[in-house]
Formats: sequence, C-alpha cells, structure tokens
Amino acid sequence: MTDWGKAKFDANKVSYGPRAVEPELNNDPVSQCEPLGYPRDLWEANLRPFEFIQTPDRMLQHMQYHDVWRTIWTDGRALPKDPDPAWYGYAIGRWEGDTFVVESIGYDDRTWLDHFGNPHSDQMRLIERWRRVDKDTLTLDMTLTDPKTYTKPWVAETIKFVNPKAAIFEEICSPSEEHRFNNEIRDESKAISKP
Amino acid sequence: MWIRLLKSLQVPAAVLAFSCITFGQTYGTPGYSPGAWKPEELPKELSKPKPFNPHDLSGVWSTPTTPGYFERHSLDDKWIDVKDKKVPPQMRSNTTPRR
Repeated sequence: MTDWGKAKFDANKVSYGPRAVEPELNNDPVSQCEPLGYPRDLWEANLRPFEFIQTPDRMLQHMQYHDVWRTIWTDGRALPKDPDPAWYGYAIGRWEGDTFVVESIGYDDRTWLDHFGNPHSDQMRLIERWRRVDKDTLTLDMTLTDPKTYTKPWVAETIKFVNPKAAIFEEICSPSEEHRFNNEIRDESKAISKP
Repeated sequence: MWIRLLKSLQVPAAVLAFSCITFGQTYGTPGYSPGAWKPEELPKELSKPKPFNPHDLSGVWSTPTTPGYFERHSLDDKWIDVKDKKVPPQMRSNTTPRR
C-alpha cells in the first residue's frame, strides 16, 4: 500500500476483522446508508443477489441492495477520458471467446473496497473477466489497479456465483430506518460495553 | 444492564433464528420474490429449462450460502484461526492486499 493508501486505510474505522472498533465508533459509509459502490456491492451477494440483464448495446448489472443499476456498455464505445467520479464508475464490456471482459474507471473514492476498510482512489481501474461455466454457475476473475493506493495490482481469487433460482426483491436502505438501528442497536452497544 | 442487553439482542436473535426458514422458503424457489408473487402464481413456462449459452449471463446470481461456507467479503478474504472461542465470527476474517 502507498503512504496515501495507508493513511486512508488507518482512517477507516471498521466493524469487522481484527481492526474492528466498537460498533458506535465505526465510520463505515454504509452505516449511514451511503452507497456500497463497486466492487464492494459484489461481496453482499451471499444474501443480496445481483442480476445481469443483456440488451443489444449494454449489460445491466442490477444490485438488490439500494436497487442500483450498473451499466456496462457493449456498443463499442471507449472509456471516457476524464469522467466525473461516480459511485459505480463507468464500464465497457466485450466478449473475448466465452469470456465477458469488463473494464471500468471513474470511481468515487468515498466508497470502501470492503468492510475491512480497504480504500481506493479515483484512479482505480478494474478489469473483470466473467465466465458462465455452466447453466447455474458464473465465475469472476478481477484485477484492481490503483497506483495512488496500491504499489502493485491486486489480483483477486476467482469468485464463484450460483443461480439461486429466485427473483431480486426490493431492499432499500432507508435513512430513517438506519438511523433507528443506529440508535437502538449500534449506539446501545456503547452502554453495554462501558457500564 | 442485563435487561437492556437482552432487549438489544432480541431482534438480531430472532433474525438469525428464522433466517434459515426464511431463505429456505424463498431462495431456491424458481422465480419467487419474497413478498410478491407466490410460485403457483407464476406462468408454468418460467420453470422450463433454457438451453445453455455461455454468452448469456442473464439471470440472478449470488454466492453460495451453504452451512460452513466461508463467505467472501473482499477481493481476498482469509479465515483467521483464533483459539479464543468467544471471538465472534465477524472478527475471524481479514484481508490484506497482495504486494
């Protein structure tokens, strides 16, 4: 990690892993209903699936949580030269044999990569290689390059997705409900842990 | 103090206790969306298998939720072997960027 990345990592107070702080002290953006962003949204797929919808000129990745639609353009356009940062970035895709290759940039650096607080900058570039290996299985190989944050590309282990044979359903993060959860559960833990 | 602790744990405990039942009834039922259409309300054609096409990624995708499966939470995610059994599961995993 670069010095810039390390400083950002240290500033991120998390609720998971060995760096976990007490619940009311975390500053995870998700605790305030901020967008998960990408690729963090993928790690929610154990309970919150996503959906691919293909059209002739784009692939839509519909995330259950927050009802987010990520657009992956397949109409031959190139990535934008100097895009404004976006929560879910800007993505283009193409087929290389049976692999759907997605390149993306332009991510807003307010999101975290995961709930361990690993950061990224607005220079993050993702390359995703999706393969449908059989009817019910999808695999993803992802490489993250972010020279402002990491000294080397971060190559992820292959991720396997299965078809849960279910439909996406509405799951909106409501700020008022999150506020109530913070008051009644997260902040309550302070009183429990420090009698 | 204990009453407050027990009250604060009631909701999470209930969610955990019934999660298997809830997801057992929803995930795995073709086309079923919780709180919406029941399986018997859906057109029969939806349950017919489609021919496999590797260039068709369409559909709903999730990571496996089988018991004992270690859920991924990052690009890499490692299980930490902590001897102290009191350490909750969410503290037992971590990720470190490859250098």
